[in-house]
Amino acid sequence: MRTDPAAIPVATIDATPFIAASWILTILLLGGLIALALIRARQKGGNP
Amino acid sequence: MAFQISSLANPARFLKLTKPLVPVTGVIALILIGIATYLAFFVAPIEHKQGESVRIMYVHVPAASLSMMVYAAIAICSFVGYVWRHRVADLIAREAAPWGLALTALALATGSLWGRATWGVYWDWDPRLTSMLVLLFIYAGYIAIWQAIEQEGQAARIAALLAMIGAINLPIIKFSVDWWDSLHQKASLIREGGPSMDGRMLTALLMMMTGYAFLSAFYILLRTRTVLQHKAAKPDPASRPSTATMEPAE
Repeated sequence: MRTDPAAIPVATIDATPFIAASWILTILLLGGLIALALIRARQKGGNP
Repeated sequence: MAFQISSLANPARFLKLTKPLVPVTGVIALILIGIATYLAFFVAPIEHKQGESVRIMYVHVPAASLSMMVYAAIAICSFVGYVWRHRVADLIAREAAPWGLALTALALATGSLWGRATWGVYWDWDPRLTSMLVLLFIYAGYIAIWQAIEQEGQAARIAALLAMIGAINLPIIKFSVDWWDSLHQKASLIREGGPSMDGRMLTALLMMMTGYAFLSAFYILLRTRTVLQHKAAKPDPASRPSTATMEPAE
């Protein structure tokens, strides 16, 4: 039987580390992929 | 429409048409994401139940939405490539897949962090979370097919079949929160009666989603153009026969 979401205590912990981790992960992953695509484009002649 | 699709099958014409789009989409994406980030941290209020953890929503929701939209684009390109042997459509689908995989992984990771902050758990075998995990596996399988099969034409056809069949998962993800008892919240944007959130939150979120969409277009166009330019410089004799040619655009 699933827990009633209304019964779960919400936002009772400091969310700052989770917010920071989410944004840093996003920047690193998407930024990294974009950087790799740009490097590959330069190496293989597909200038952006 | 048919004319436009067939005209884009010419790689030279595709390269010519998309050349100005790459810098334009990149610059628009940077501006939109920059403004949306400012709005998310300094303008949008906190949510009365989630508290500060709502700031995760501005990276989680766009990643989740775009992961599905990119998959839909892959399925459409796969259909076009499968039916009309449109080589450029196959390539667009192939080059979009790593981006879609990254967005799906990001949606799961940021959702997991949000879940820990709000629900108290990183993971729950909830219908929405599970169907997103299935999407991740479909992306991984799609990429693996392209990597595993050396003959490009054969890889394109098998990968296209997987992409088209896998599209069944998209409505399952979207409606999972309505069809089953789900811990994940129901739709806040596309719902009867309009969006259910504060206008400042909505502005930041929609701007971030549009920014992600432009960033996705930038990445996919850049990758596809790189491959086409590389192929034009070094034609691969093992490539499958196609109606597409490398003749210059008219």
